[in-house]
This record gives sequence, C-alpha cells and structure tokens, in this order.
Amino acid sequence: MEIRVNPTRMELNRLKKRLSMARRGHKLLKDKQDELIRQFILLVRKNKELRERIEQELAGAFAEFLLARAVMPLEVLEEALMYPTRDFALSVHKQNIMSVYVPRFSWQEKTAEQGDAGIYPYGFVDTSAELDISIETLSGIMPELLELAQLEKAVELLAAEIEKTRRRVNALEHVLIPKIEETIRYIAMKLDENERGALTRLMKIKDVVRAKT
Amino acid sequence: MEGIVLALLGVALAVGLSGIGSAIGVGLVGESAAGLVTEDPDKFGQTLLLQALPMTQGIYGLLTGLVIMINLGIFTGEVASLTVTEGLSMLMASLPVALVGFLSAIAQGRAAAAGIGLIAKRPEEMGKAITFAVMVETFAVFSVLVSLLLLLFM
Amino acid sequence: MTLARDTSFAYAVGRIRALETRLLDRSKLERMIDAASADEAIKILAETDYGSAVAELAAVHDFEEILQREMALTLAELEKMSPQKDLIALMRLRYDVLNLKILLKAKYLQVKAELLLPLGTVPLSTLQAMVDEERFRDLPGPLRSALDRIMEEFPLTRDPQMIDLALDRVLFEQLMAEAARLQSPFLKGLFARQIDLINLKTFIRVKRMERDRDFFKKAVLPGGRLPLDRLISLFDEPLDALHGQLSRTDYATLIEEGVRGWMEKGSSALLEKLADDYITTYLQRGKRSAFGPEPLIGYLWAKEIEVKNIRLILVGKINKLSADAIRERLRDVYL
Repeated sequence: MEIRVNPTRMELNRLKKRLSMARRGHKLLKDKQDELIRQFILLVRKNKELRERIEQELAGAFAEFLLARAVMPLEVLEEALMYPTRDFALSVHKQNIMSVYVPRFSWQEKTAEQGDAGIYPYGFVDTSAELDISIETLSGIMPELLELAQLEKAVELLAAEIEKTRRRVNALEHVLIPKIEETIRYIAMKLDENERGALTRLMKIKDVVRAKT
Repeated sequence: MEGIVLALLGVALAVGLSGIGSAIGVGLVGESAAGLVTEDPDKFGQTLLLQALPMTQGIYGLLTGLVIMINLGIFTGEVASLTVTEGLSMLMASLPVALVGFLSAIAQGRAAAAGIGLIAKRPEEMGKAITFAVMVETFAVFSVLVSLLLLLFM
Repeated sequence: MTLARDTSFAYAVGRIRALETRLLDRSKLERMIDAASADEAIKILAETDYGSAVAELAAVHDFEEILQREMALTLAELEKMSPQKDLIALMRLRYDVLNLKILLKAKYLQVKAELLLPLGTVPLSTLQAMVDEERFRDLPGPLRSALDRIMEEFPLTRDPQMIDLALDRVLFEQLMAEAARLQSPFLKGLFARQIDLINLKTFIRVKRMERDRDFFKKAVLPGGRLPLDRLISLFDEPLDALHGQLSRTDYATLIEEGVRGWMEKGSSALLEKLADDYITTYLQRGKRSAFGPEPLIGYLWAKEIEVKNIRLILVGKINKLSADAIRERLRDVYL
C-alpha cells in the first residue's frame, strides 16, 4: 500500500495522537456494542416470551371466535360487531436505550361517551354467549398486543444499531488502526533513514574536511 | 195435511244435514290431500280413498230420505194423507241419521285428514290410516240403522 | 282479528306433511360431520333437497348463500300456502328488526350497509329509505316509537348496544301483542318460552360480564312465563339460587345441565343447544296436529334449526374443527 504522507516528525506526532484517539474510540464503541447486545438479548428474550404467550392466546381466541361464528348467521355476527364501543387512544414517546430511540406506547381505552355498553357492543337476543367469551379474550389480549408491537420495534431498532456499531468497531479495528500504525511505522522508518543519511553525510563531510586539512 | 209437511221436513233434514256433513268432511280431506299431492303427486290414489270415507254419511241420509218418501207413496203418485202424529214420528225417525250423520261426517273428515299426514310420512301404513277414520263410521251406521228400523217397523 | 279456523290450514298441513319428509335427518348430518373435508360434506348435502343450490355454488365458502336462499324459499312457500299471510309475516318480523339494526348502525358509522338479510316483511330498499329519511311512518306503532327514541338518544350516548336492546325488546313486545291479537295460546306459548330462554341466557351472560342489576333490568325482555321481578331480584344472589328458583319449572334440567356445562367447560354451547332443543320439543306438537298453524310454525322452526346445523357443520369443516366440538353444538332435529 502506498502511503502518501510527509514523513515529518510533526506528522508522526499528529498520527500518534490520532492512533490513541482511534484506540480510545474503538474501546468505547466496543463497550457500547457489548451493552447494546446485553440489552438486545434481554429484550429478545422478553419478546420471545410475550410472543409465544400471545400467539397461544390468539389461537385460543380465534378458536372461540370460530365457534361463535359457527352458531350465528353471518349477518347477525356482522351486525353485532359493526359498531365498536371502544376507542383506543395511542400515543408514542421516545425512550433512549444506549442513544437508540425506541418507541414507548401509552394508551388509553375510551368507551362510548355516556353509554355503559362495556366492551360488548351488541344485544343478547340473536347473539351467542360464545361471542362474549371470544370478545372478552380478544379485548384482554389487546394491551399485550400493543406491548408486543412496541417490543418488536425496539428489538428491530436495537439490532440495526448493533449492526452499525459493529461495522464501526470493525472499521476501526481492522482498517483505520492498522493503517495508522503502518503509517507511523513508515514515517518512523523514513525518519530513521533520514537520520542515518544525515549521519553518513556528516561523516562523509567530516572525512572530506579532514583530508583537506 | 200438516202431517206430510212434517214428514217432508224429516226427508230434508236426513238428506240435508248428513249431506252437509259429508260435504264438509270430504272437502276437508280434499284440501289436505291437495296439499300433499302438490308436493308428492304419486300419492293421489291413496289420498282419494281416504277422501271418499266421509261420503257414506251422505249416502245413509239419502237412503233414509228415500225410505220416508216410499212410505209417503210419493213415487206411486198417491200421496197418503198423514196425521200430525204420524208425520211427527217420521220426522223423529229421521233425526238420528241427520244429526249423527252431520257430526260424524265432519269428525271422520278430520280423522281422514290426519290420516293424510300419516301416509305422507309412511305410505305403507295406509291400512291403519283408513282404520282410524273408519272407526267413526260405526256411529253413523248405528244411527242409520235406528232411523231405518223406526221407519220400517213403526 | 283472530286466527283463522284450524281446518282452514288443512291444505297447508297436507303440504307440510310431505315437506317434512324431506328435512335432513340426524344420520345425514352425522355423515356430514364425519366427512373428511368441507368439500366432502358439501357433496353429501348435494344428495338432498339442497342439491340444485349446491350445484350453483362457486366455492364452499359461499355456503351462506345456500342457507339464505333456503330460508327465503321456505318463508315464501309457507306464506303462499298459509290461509293467513300475517302469521308468516309475524315470523319474518325479526329479520326486519335485524336489518333495521344494521341500517341504523351503518348510518351512524356513515358507511354503506352490506350483508342485509332479505327475509323481512319490508323490502330492503324501503327500509333503507326509511332510515335515510328518518321516517318510520309505515312501520307498526311500537317499532316506530322505539326507532324515534333511538334517533333521539343515540347521538347523545353513542352506545350501539342500546340500539340492539331497544329493538329486541320492541320485537318481542310486538310478537306477544300479535299473539294476543290472534288469540292463539300456541303462539303466545312459543314467544313466552323464547323470551324466558333468552332471559335466562342473558341472566348468566350479564353476570359473567360483571355488570350490575340495573343493566340486567335494561336487558331482560318482558312477557315471559317466569316473573320478571323474581329474575331481577335473583340477580344479586349466586348462580345456584337460580337453579333453586327454577327447580319446579320445566326449565329445571336445561338450566342445571347447561349451567354446569358452562362452569365446567367455560362454554355456553350446551346451554344454547338445550335452549334450542327445548323450543323444538315445544313445537314438535306441530307434527301431531292435522290442522291449525302449529305444523307450519313447527316446519319453519325445523328449517331454521336445519340451516343452523348445516352452518355449524360447514363452518366447522372448513376450519377443521373437531367432530366432537361440532357434535356438541348440533341441535336436535325436528323430525
């Protein structure tokens, strides 16, 4: 590799400063990466747990809903569920994990303004109680679903950040630092050579001067 | 001459009431049978038999009426003159077949119409459906028997 | 006006007797349950009276079309053969109410109502126009005033359950009033029993929803054979008190078995099946009477149950539900 620098002592000092800075940066980034990975593993574990639980609950809720569907005509089911009583007001904040901003949801359930319908927006005559059961399960899962969404996004963002950090650490470790070290070595060699050249020159001049006298 | 009027009233009641009864009965079974045949035309023969059952009361009434008319000599052209008592007793003799014929024909019609429902489900049980309806016939037979005995042996 | 003379139903009953023989029996339904797939089940259905409808079916998933068509046909046939049209119109009333509910909710959501059931007494386009213009003059009095009240109250509360509760209540009030007008103990007995069964189910459902007595008071329907105030006063007591109170009525076994099933399995399936079976038993007297409206109403109910059972089996088969889960919910047939 060709190194195009001025092999001066000043450059050498500058490079040495850069090298120590790069090493410090590398160490810091490495620490950051370790911490990110630690956080990531925590989140992933939590995510997996939640996901498995929700998947199971959802499967159950769908099975219940299916049974409700099986004992009610399509039109009756549609009528029962077409006008929901609940609104979900969702707001998103940011949370800082190792300078990664992950979303943090907070939500509020709103029922119909003054009515007291609860979570069941239908009457009792045509509908089956099996529908009550599936609605109850589904509405219980809703907060967990939101939490899962929030976790999944956090995990995704953290993974991206870890990737980025890893690339930086690698760049420092395998490219920048070796390159600076080599340059330093080159300059040092060059300087040594110059010194040796100057010495030889001096000795030569000394010989010439001595011969004349 | 008042006697003859009473006797003729007897004829009218015997033929009329039992005839009305039979008409209602036969009509009722007919309606029911028409319903069944609408859905299942193959059952026409079986239903026709059931429909015919309530017709007998009308026939008994007619028979009684004819016997009274023969007694009166209407067919020979010499109409006997009757006292009120004689006429009244002929009227009385016609009442059993008139009243029982009227009501039993309707009752038989209902039983036969129910029998239509039976053969809709189980065509092979036709005999039983007819038996149930025919049981009602017993009382019509009793009444016509009494009416005729009264007329012939009085 | 009272109900027509019983013998005027002779023709209709004759036809019903023949039609009854074509209802699907238990063994056909069992064969459908045991079918390997939804397609196989449909094939078995094709061997029956549903054959021509099945032949026109594009995909198994559209089976609701067959069922809807079957109900429409049955109602139209009954209407044609009945000596008294308003008897069948009475049975159509609940579809009007269902359509009104859908149209009202669609109106308040500002969407177009789809999935209406064209089985009611009033054409769908007329109903739609009524709801659009908020003019219900042509509907029976109680229904009209209930609708007017909804139009007034809903914009304040935005509570969709109120629409259902108010319309369901007025539907059964109307049915009871018509039964009284026709002086038919049979119809009155039918509607009163339906009201009782709905009230009993509502009792348990509202309790499970953890709502209070005031809400239950709003949800129960008046006019049943069980006295309402007793039901309402029972509401704050534990569920067992209900058995005790009902032990001497003919709902005793239904409630005992149904509620036990509910508590043990967490599913209302058994209770709802038993409730339908109870009505079937009540209406089965229609199989024995040669005259009168009973066979017509009985046949209509038999069709409703048949359609319910077919829907249950096909939904189950399409979604690979276990045969036991289907069988558990299968209603007794009328035959």
